[in-house]
Amino acid sequence: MRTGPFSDTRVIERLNAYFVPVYVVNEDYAPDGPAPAEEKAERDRIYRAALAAGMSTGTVHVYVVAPEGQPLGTLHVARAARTERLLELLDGVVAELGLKPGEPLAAPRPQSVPRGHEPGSLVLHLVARGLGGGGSWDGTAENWIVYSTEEAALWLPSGELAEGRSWTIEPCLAERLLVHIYPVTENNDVTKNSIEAGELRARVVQVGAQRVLVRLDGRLQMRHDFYYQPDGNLVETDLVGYLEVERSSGCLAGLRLVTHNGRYGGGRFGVAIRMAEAETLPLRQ
Amino acid sequence: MQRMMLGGTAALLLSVAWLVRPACGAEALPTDYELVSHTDATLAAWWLKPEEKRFDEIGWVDGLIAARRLSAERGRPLFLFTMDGRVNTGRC
Repeated sequence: MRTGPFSDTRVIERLNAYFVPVYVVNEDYAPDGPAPAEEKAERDRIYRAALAAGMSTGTVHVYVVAPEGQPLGTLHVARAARTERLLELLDGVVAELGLKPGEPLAAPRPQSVPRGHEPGSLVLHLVARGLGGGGSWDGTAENWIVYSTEEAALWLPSGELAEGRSWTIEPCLAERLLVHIYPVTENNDVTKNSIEAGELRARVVQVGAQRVLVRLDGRLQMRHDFYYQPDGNLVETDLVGYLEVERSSGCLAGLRLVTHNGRYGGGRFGVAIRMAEAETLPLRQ
Repeated sequence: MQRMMLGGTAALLLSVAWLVRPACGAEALPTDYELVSHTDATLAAWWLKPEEKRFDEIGWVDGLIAARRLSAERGRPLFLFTMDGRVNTGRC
């Protein structure tokens, strides 16, 4: 939906001009999820009202609700993913209610941002995409991986970074990154990913006047199911990239890492990771 | 004799090259000299394109209750999308 109908100019214009758009994450609204009880109750009320009205219902679904609270129309995601079908629903409601266009009621803003973190944290932004041959949905997926100031310091060894010096990134730090390296799949519970072999190694390749360049090399072999049922699929890839370290402060000034020959589910995929360029608002992932 | 030795050396080198070659269709890792340009070019090619971030052009309201309140106050219908995973990151 993100790179389908929600990226279509006509859908964007209609949602902004005529509707109050909101999305909710089912995991947050589960009985043990973090969403407030009032939010959960309202989502359940809309679901039940749609059910009572004889409309299609489901957990992965579109609901259009009147300002008074009653459902006006629903669509299963498989139908909503067809842009023309979604436009038909939206235009039908606009016509039925005789709505006049207006400005968005909430200012559009970046929706993918890292979770709240303290200043000085190492914030990594990851983008995954399929590169053909299957094993990935279309579109892209993102993750944010945040290391505290203390954890960030562990990416570098103590002492001088002389040319040729090498070390292995702490496994617990590397694994927190590696578990997110997979293409665009249905299953995104990284606790179910099982690393069979994975490591990140670092080696100083150049000591400049201002900065030290550190090469990163890695290898990952990880069990990752496309859906939520075990399917035996393996993520297999090499990793290559670099760290930049400021000589004067010893601080990490940059991190870039990409997969190399990444394969999954019979297809190829690519993952690119970089240090976030600027602090972002602590909102949600 | 020398020719045979050279031939044998060539065969040995070919064998070693065969053993250390990248897997079928795989590209060799960049050298240290190529490291930065390779990483930067690959990252640029795979990074999010503006057309892949159009989701952010929608004025999403944060939270269902806040959205319902706005809907009632401003007389606009609510558009609610419920899903497993996080549509805002594409991990859904």
